[in-house]
Amino acid sequence: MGEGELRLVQQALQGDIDAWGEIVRRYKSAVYGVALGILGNPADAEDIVQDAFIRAYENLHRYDLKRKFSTWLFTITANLCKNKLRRERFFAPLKGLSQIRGGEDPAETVAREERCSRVQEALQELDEKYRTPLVLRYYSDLEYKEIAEALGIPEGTVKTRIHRGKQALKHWLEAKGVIESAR
Amino acid sequence: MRDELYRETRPSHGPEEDEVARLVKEGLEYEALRGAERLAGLELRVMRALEERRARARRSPRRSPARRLLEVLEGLRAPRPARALAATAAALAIFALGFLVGSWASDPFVAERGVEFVIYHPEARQVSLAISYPVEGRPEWQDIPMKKRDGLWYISLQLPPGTYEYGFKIDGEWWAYDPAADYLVRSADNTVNAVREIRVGSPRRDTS
Repeated sequence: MGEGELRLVQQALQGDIDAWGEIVRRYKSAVYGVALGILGNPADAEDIVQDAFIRAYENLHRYDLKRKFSTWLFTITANLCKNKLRRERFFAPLKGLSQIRGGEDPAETVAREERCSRVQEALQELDEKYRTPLVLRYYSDLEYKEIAEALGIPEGTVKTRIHRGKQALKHWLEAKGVIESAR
Repeated sequence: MRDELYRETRPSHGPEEDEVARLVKEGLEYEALRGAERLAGLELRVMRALEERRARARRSPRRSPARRLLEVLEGLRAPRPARALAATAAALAIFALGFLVGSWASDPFVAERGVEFVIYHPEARQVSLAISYPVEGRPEWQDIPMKKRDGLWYISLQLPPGTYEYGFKIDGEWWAYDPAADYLVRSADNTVNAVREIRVGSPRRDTS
């Protein structure tokens, strides 16, 4: 954590809610990506992000300042998502993608939207136990050990699940023509 | 996705798998970017929610440890009058004992730094503190033998900021109605645990 962020966290620990607002501003997008990757539904992901920041603030005194702050936030988020999935036992697939504004090549925009949409579909086809470690590894860049701690499972299990999940994704994406088959 | 897709294969981190990792990252980063509009003003919503919670907490101040203890004792069984009276008397006796022991015991421990756990039990042969302590970032229950002097069992621990559930094992029997606890909680298996909250810069706690 940068010195500025450490100061913000310390200010928040003293009860400064504005400092926490700045932390939210900096991390909300990354936390949203984790929640969306696991839940697959933007509205649910948004709710979880808000909840995650409130929970994190209320449990800030438990945060070990020596640990990476983003890892701690992602851990809270992943566990809130898992709890939500456990409670509901279902989730809505990602709805149709809206148009993105911007000045990039329209053909590339369409191709990327299509590709990302397929990846999201593939992720949501995966069992949650494979999806969550994959998201934490490849989107949040957490180490295997950190994922193991976040999810409360052995490091070896994390590696196995990521490997199998990635294999399953590869087969699915090959079948849909998103990536070329090696065979 | 069909189960056979999860079948175990020999690890092969070839270019196709790296491509999968790259696509996952690209896909989620793209979606996070798209979510920017949805997340606009989230920090304000979080701050507002926290302010509201703080205001609510101010309106209904936290219950005292004594109140919580009495609630737990009252909740143990259907409150027949005699039992409720006995529970209240027991709670008062425990607090009185805790106060006396605390007053008596504060001096012998001033040389030690840390959070002190004390219980007066002259008949006990063995007393240990069972505490949920963070090991590599995750809470784990640990039994720590307590020292004995003049019927008083005590231990002083250096605890980083956090919330700690604990109780005492007195000759193998669980007891957690510690008057020095911040509050009591009932765990999933219906056991009552004492809790102390150690905050950054919080003063050293007195003995119980």
